[in-house]
Amino acid sequence: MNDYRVIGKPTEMVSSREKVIGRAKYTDDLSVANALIVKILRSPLASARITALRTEKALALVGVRAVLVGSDLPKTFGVLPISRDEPALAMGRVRYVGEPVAAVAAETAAIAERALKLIEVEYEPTGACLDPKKALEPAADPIHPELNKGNNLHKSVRQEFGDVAKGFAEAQAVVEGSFDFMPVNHAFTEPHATQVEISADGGLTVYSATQVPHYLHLALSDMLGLPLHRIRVVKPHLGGGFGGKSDPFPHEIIAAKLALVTGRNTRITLSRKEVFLTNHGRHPTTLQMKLGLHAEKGISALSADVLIDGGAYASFGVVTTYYNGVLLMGPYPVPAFSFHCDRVYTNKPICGAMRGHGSVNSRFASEVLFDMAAMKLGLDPAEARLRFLHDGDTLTINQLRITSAGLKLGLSTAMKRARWSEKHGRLPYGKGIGVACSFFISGSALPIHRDGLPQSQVRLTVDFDGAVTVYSGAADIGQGSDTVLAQMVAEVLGIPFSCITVVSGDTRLCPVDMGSYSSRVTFMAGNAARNAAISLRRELARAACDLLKIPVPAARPASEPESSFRLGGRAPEWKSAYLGPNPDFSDGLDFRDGKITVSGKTVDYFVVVKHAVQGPGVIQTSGIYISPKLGGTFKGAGAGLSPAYSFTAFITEVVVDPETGFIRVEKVTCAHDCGQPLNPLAVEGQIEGSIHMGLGQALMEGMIYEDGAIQNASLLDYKIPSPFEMPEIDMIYDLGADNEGPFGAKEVGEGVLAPLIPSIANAVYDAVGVRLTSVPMTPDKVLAAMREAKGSA
Amino acid sequence: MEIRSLLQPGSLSELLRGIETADDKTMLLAGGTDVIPMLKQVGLSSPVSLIALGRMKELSGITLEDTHTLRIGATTRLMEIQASPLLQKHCPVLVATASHVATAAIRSRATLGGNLLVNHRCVYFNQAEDNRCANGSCFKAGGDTCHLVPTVKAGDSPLCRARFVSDLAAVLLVLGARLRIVGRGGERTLEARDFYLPDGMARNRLEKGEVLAWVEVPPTAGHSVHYEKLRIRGAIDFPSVGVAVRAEAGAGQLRIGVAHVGLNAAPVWLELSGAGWSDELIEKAAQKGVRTAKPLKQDLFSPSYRREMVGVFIRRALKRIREARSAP
Repeated sequence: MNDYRVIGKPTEMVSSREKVIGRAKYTDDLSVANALIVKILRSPLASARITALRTEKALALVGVRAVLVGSDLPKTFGVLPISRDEPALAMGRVRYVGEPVAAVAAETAAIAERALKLIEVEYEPTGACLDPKKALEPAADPIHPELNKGNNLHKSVRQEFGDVAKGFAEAQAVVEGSFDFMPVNHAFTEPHATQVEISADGGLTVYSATQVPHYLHLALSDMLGLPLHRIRVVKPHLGGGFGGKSDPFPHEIIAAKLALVTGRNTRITLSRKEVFLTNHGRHPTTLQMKLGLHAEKGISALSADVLIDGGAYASFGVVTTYYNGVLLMGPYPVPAFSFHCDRVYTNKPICGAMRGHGSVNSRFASEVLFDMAAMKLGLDPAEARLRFLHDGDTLTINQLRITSAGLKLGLSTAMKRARWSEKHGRLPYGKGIGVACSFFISGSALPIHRDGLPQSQVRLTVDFDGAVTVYSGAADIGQGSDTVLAQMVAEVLGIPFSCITVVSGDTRLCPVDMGSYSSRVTFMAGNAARNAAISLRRELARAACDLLKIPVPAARPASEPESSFRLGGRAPEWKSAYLGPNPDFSDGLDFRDGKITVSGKTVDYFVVVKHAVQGPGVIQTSGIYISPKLGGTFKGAGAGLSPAYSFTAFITEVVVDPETGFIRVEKVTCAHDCGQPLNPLAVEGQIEGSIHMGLGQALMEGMIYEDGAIQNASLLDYKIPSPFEMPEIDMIYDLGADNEGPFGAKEVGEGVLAPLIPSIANAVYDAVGVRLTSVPMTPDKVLAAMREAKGSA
Repeated sequence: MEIRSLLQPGSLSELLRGIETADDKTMLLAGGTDVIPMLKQVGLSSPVSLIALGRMKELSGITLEDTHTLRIGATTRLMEIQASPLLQKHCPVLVATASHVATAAIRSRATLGGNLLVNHRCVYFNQAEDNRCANGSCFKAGGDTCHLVPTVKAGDSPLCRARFVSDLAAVLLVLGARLRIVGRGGERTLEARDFYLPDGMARNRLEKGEVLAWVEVPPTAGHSVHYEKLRIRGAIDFPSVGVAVRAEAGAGQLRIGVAHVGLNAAPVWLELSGAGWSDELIEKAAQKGVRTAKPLKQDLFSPSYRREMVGVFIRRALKRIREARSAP
C-alpha cells in the first residue's frame, strides 16, 4: 500500500476559487488595449463558387480598419500535417453553410456588423453533396478536386487481422446489425474566443481558447509567414474543450492576420451559433457490424463496415477513421477482425475530435451486438463480459500493448453493488438493467508531428523562497491538469501544495507540450513533471547532505534507468523494463511534510533550498516524456497505440414509459480503471461530466441540418441534458496502478463516455424487449421500435 | 440590438400615456425573458423603444376577491405564483404548471402576462438573422414565404403556422379564466378562450395601445384540473405538447374540458360531457384532442409523435383525476 501525502487525496483544483468567485479570466474577459473588433462574414450556401467579392463599400465605412478575403491568406491549414486542406477564408468557393468568406476589423462591434452587410458577394451555387452515401458516387465537381479522387471520399481504411471467416465459422452465435448516429457537438460553456496583441516591432501574442497552444503556434507561423519566435500563444482559463478546441481555427488565423495588417490589437468571440457552425464535433455515422461469440472462448470474429460524414474539411478525420476500428480491439480479445471505414467529405460544417474520439459510435454497435450474442447463447451478458475481458500484460491482434487492466475487479464490483444478478431479466416490464464495457487510450503513442520533440516536457524552478514553479505547455482546459501536475511535484518533494505554482499553456514561457487531447496530459505531462521533480529532489538531496555534513547516499544503480523504457523498447521487451508505478527515489532520503530526513537527521525544506541556491542561484530541472516504441509494422499500425489504456464498465438502470417511449436513466454504476486516481475530486468530476455528455448523445442530442444549414444552433434548441435527467451515480475507480503511468495513473477524461450509451440501450432491451440501433434514442424511436416488435411478435 | 429609449411608468395612467406616444418599434417589457432573447436573435437593425412594467405595483400580485375569484396581476412573476400559499390553496394546478415553465432562473424574472403573450415559435423563425435570410425570410420575419407550408400565399388565413407555446394558457383556458385588458378607451374583459388567434403573426386580440393587466380565475371548487407536458428535458424547454384537462361532476353529468398548446398556432379548447367516468368518455376526449392537433415539423419530435402524445396525455390526465377522486 502506498503512503502518499497528496496523490490520491481529494484536492481542490488550483483555479477553482477564482473561477467560483468570478475572478478567473477567460479569453473574452481579457481586454487587450484598444482592440479592433473582428467579425466574420460566413457563407449562406453549402456549395457555391464565389464569382465576385467586393469589399470597397465596407472599407469605406468610417471605423473599418481592414477587410480580409481568401486571397489575403492564400495557404491552407489543418491539424494533421497529412491533410491540410482548409483555408482560413474561402478561396473561390464555399464548402459549407457558415464557412468564413471575409472578415472585418473595426473600431466597434456595431461598425463591424454594418461592414459585413456592405461586403458584396456573388455566389454561383453548385450542387451540394449532403448525403454521405452519395459522397462515394462519382462526382463531376468534388468538394476537394485537389485529391484527384473523382468522388468525395476523404480517407478509406481497410484492415484485416486473423482468419475472419474461420472466426465466424467457429462462433456459436453470430449477430449483426445496422446502426446510425446523428452528429453531436461538444456544447462547451465558453465559446471560441481569441485576442491578439501586436508589439511595436510586429511580434504577436495570441490569447486563445485552445486545447493545444503548440498546434496553434505552428499553424499561425505557417499561415502568416511569421517565424515561430515572433509568435507567442497563451491559453487563458478555458471553459471546456472536449476536442472542440484542439484544432487551429480560421478565426484565430484571421484575428492574427488582421492585427498584422492593421498594426492594432484585435479580438473576436464567436456567438453560440458560430460555435455550432465551427463544430468539429462527433462524426455522423452509419455502420454495419457483425460479431461472432463462442460461449467458452469469447469473441471469435468481428467485422465492421463504417461510413463517417466528415463535413467539408479534414480536421482530425484520418485519425477518426482509424479509431472507429482499431479501438474495437478491447476491452475483450478479438482474434479475427476485419474493418472498413470511409470518411467522406460533404458540404456541411467540419467534424473532428470529440470526447471518446472515434470510439463512441462503433462501441455502441459492438456492445449491443455482444449483448445480443450473449443472450442468444443463454449467457448472462455481464458474466460473459467479465469472463472475456482482457487480462493485463497482453497484446491485441492489432499489436496494441495492454499493460494494466483492472476492469475484471471493476465490473465484478459493479455487478455486486448494482445487484446485477438479482435484477437482470427479473425486473417488471418497463424497468431494465443493462451493461456495457469499453477501453480507451491514455494519449496517442505516436505524435502528430514527427519532429523528434518529446511529447511532454516540464521545467521546474525553485528559488530562495522555496516556491517551486512548474512550467508546462499542457493546457488546463478545466479538467484539472494544472492541479495534478502540482500534486505530483508536491508528492515527490514532500512540500505543501501552497509552495507550488503552475505556469502552463504559454508557448513563450513553457516548454513544448502536445496539448490536451486524446487523454494524454495526466499520463504524459504527468510523467514529465514527475521526472522533473525527481531531478529537483536529487539536487535538494545533495544540498541537504552538504548542510548536514554527511555523504550523499548512493542512488540505486541505474541498471534499469527510468528513461530506458520511456525512451524506447518495443512491445515484447516491455516486461524487462518494469519499474513499478512509482519508482523508489532510491536516494535514502525521506522528503515529507516540508522536512528532509537523512540517516535519522532532519532538516527543514526551506533551509535546504536556501542553502542549495547559494552559489548556483535558482535551481532548474526538467523532465520529459516520450512514449515507448510500440506497435506492428503494417500500414496504419500507429493508430490506437497508447502507452496505457483505461477500461470502463457501466451497469445502467432505466425506466421506459411504454406509452410515451421516454427513457429515464435512474441509476448508473460506473467502474473505471484509471490506474491510481491522482485527484479523486477530479476523477469524479470527469466521470460525472462524461455521464452527462454521454446521456445527451444517448437520449436527445443531435445537430439537425436542412439543405446543409443547421436548424438548432442554440442551446435552447440543441438539447443537452438538464440536471433533472442526471441519474444517481455510483462510482468505482480505484482499480490498481499502471506500471508506467505517473504514480500509476491512466486517463479518465474520455473513456468513460462510450459504454454509457450502449448500456442504456441494453437496459432498454431488458425493460421492454426492443433493440435500439439509432442514436439518439429519442422517445419516438423507442415507441416505433416497440410497435414494430409487437407487430412481428 | 439597440435600445433607443426606456420608459418605466409607475402607474397605469402613466403607462397608458407612454403607450399613446409609442411608435411601431415600441415593445412592452415585463420579465424580458422572451422579449430580450428575441430582440437579440432577430437582431432588429433599427433601434427599439422599451416600456418596462416592473415598477407598476398595480399590475403585480395575487388576491382573492369576495366571490372567491382569484385575481393575478399580469406582471406577477412565475416564481411568486409557484410560492403563493393562496394559489396553492385555491388553484394548485397553476402552482404546479408554473413550475414546469423554463427554469428557476427564468421563472424568477418571467411573468404571468409574459407567459400568456409569449411569442409563437417556429424552427424557421427562431433562427439568427442570416439563417432566416439564407432560407428566404418567412412571413413572420417580414418575408413572403412559409417554410412549413410552402403553398401558403400572402392573404391566406392563417398566414403563419408558428406554434403557440404558453403552458399557463392551457390551464387558464380550462379554468375559464378571464383576461382584463386596459387601454386608452378604458377596460375590457375577454374570456381566455376567446383571446387567441390562430395565426402566429396576429397572435391574439390585444389591440395596439392595450395592455393585459390582470387575469381572473373563477372559483375552482368542485372540479379537478391536471396539466401534462411533453418535452425532452425535465426543465428549460417549451412544451412540444401541453395538455390541460378539467373534470367537473354535477347533476348526474361529468363535464370534461381539454386545452392543448404547443401544436397549433393557437391553443385549442374542447368540451365534452358524459353520464360519468367511463373509459369510453376518456377515449372520446383523447380522440377529439388528437383530431384537433395539427402539428407541423417545427420541433425535435416528429408531428405524428406529438399528435399521438396529445391522446396519451389526455388519457393520462383524466385517469389521474379519476384515480384522485376515487381515492379515499
